Amino acid sequence: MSAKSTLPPLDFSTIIASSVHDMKNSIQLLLGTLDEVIDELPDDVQPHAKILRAQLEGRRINDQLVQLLTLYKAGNTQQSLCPDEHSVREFLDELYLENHAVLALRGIDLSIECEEELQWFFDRELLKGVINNLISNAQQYTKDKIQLNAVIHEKWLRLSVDDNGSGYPETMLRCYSAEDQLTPGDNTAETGGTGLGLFFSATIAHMHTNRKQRGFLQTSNEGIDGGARCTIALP
Amino acid sequence: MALWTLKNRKILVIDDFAEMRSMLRSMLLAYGAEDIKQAANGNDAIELIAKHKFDIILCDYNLGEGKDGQQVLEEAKHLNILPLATTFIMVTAENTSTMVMGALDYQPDAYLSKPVTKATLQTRLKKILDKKELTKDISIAIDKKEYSKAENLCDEAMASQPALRLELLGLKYNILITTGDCDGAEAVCQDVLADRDVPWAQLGLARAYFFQQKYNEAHQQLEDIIATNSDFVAAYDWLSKTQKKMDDLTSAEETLAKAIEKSPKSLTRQRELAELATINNNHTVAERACRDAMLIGKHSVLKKPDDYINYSQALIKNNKGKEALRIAGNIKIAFKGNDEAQLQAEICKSTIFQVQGNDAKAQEAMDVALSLYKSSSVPSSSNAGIALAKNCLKYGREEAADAIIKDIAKNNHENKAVLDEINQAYEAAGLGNKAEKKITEAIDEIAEINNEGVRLINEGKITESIELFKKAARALPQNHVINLNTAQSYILLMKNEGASRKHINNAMFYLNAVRDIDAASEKYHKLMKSCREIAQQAGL
Repeated sequence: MSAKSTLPPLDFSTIIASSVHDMKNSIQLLLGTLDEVIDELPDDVQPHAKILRAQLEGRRINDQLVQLLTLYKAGNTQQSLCPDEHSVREFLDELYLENHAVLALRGIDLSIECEEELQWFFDRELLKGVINNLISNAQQYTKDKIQLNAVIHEKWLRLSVDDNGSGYPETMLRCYSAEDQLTPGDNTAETGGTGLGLFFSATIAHMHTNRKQRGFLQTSNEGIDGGARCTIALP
Repeated sequence: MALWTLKNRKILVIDDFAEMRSMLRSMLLAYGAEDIKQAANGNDAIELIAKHKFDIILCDYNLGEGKDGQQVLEEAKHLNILPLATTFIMVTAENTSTMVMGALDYQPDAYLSKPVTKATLQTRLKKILDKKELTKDISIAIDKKEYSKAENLCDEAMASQPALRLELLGLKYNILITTGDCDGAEAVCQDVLADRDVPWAQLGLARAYFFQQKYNEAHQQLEDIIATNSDFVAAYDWLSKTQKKMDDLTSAEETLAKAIEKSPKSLTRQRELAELATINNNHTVAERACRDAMLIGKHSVLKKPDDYINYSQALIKNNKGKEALRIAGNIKIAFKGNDEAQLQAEICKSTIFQVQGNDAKAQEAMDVALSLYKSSSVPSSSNAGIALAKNCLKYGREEAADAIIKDIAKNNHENKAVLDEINQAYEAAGLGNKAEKKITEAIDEIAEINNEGVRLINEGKITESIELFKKAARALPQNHVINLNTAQSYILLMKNEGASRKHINNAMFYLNAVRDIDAASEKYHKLMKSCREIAQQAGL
């Protein structure tokens, strides 16, 4: 008889999955509690800016978590896309609801340009992370406006986040398509960020496929009054 | 306060985490909900779903130990306790494509990702309920099994609600597959797939091919799905079924093993693997799959005595007699009051003792089994019967064995595998082709019933023929010729006297019995078609 006892090998994806479950529950409780705090305020009192800020950060943690998990899975070639048919307008309304109050505190006006009946196929949660990312990017560079646009053009959904800042520098105007060798850290110098957000957005776009076509990300200066526009195009 | 309200909606919240349940509950209360029930695990959830008719079910995918949310949904659908009119929403913590990639009939109405905030709950829930409301009359018709009416409603809605097109095509596909119109179901899938790679339509097309017996096409389609989406577990299940039909049992087992690796908690999948591994003589795999099936089913309403018997038999094959005996003993406790289970437990014990060389105890168990067999009101499964007959032959009780195998042969008179097994058992006992004689007798008796039925029909005594076949079908529930003839009599009756919902349901009942045994039967498809046409003409 062998007296040696061995622990079963750790399966990292299982660990991640169960941690994510716990963390998501915590975020759920955090945001839910903040909702309750706001509810307990008298009707004529506006929620304090700090509460809104805390809610925003809670949602950011969530988006980051989703990103992290998605990139981890993409790296392990585990598919994790769940595309379903959604109302695009409703999707943008939800993003508006989550962001407009905090942006208003900074004097930024958020608006939506999208037809009521628009429907498309996408992974709701992942795309939400992408758009939130683009919004938080835009708020750093915009003057005072951010607009979410959605149109269907030749069987592609084109979702863009526009601002009225001074636009992208020439070197950043490009199309991040399937042929690109995407690596985190792209454009680090230009954006001042980690570049992970852009990498994530392009990866999510790329993961959306239909009838052998793949989504892509595109930057241009066709935003409001020549401001920046970042478009995610999905087949 | 919003005008929108959840007042008068019966709601069930399923989550293993108490704080999460109470948070969702307070959010729902804020929108006017009054009747909210809660369940902390899958089994409690199933019990509540069986007892109450909920309007809305919010179910967390991850429920800790035991069943997950998808299994709750599948089990509830399987048990027919979850009407289509109920809105089932899966709350998820992470994107899991294995969760989404199922057959259409086992998909929730929507997914909500955590965190579910008050604002998102309201906007999304309202949208989901509004959408569900638009197809409510179709859901109700399907729940009432008024398929032809439901199909017409689908077509009408498609013209008036183009935004719901995909939703409606999904409903239509389910109606067509259920009523056996495989060509129609195939056309729906092709229609959807012309625009977009929608997973349910990709799988749906393969299922339509399968039922049309186009196994090569089904095989190709399923391999294509898996090549582009290796997590599509339901595609593995259907590929395995297809390989089985193509007599490639080795591949069928390999395919299913891959599916189990990705998603091990499915009872039916473990059972299928156990069966294939047993046939392929892979005793180690069989033992593990049998054990897992038994453990998964343990706290489920879907558990069957067979799960224990099969595990016990697998253990015997691997020379684990003591453990096998323990499992056989567990059956008696787990299925108290179930005569068939008690009978199977005794047969199993008898076999184990026999293998262990304990003839006295083996005969003792066999005698108990025989008396249970004789007093049983329902026919036993062919597996149990053959096992008992084998034991009888071993201990010189040839007469008892003859009676049992005749019963089995009558129930399965066209099932070659079962008849072969009977013959082999007799040959092994040194009785040569003596079984053949008993089988012929059985087949003659079935032929006699059929001839009598046909004579009654020819004399215009259709009601009498129905009575005759119904009686035969009660005694021989697995005999597909008898089931088909019963259905046919009902169809003839409707052709003479006009259609009625009741008779259509009667005919469908017997046809469905055949579908479970042998979906490929040509006569089955012909009768399904007649049934459909009658329902359509009468607008039922």
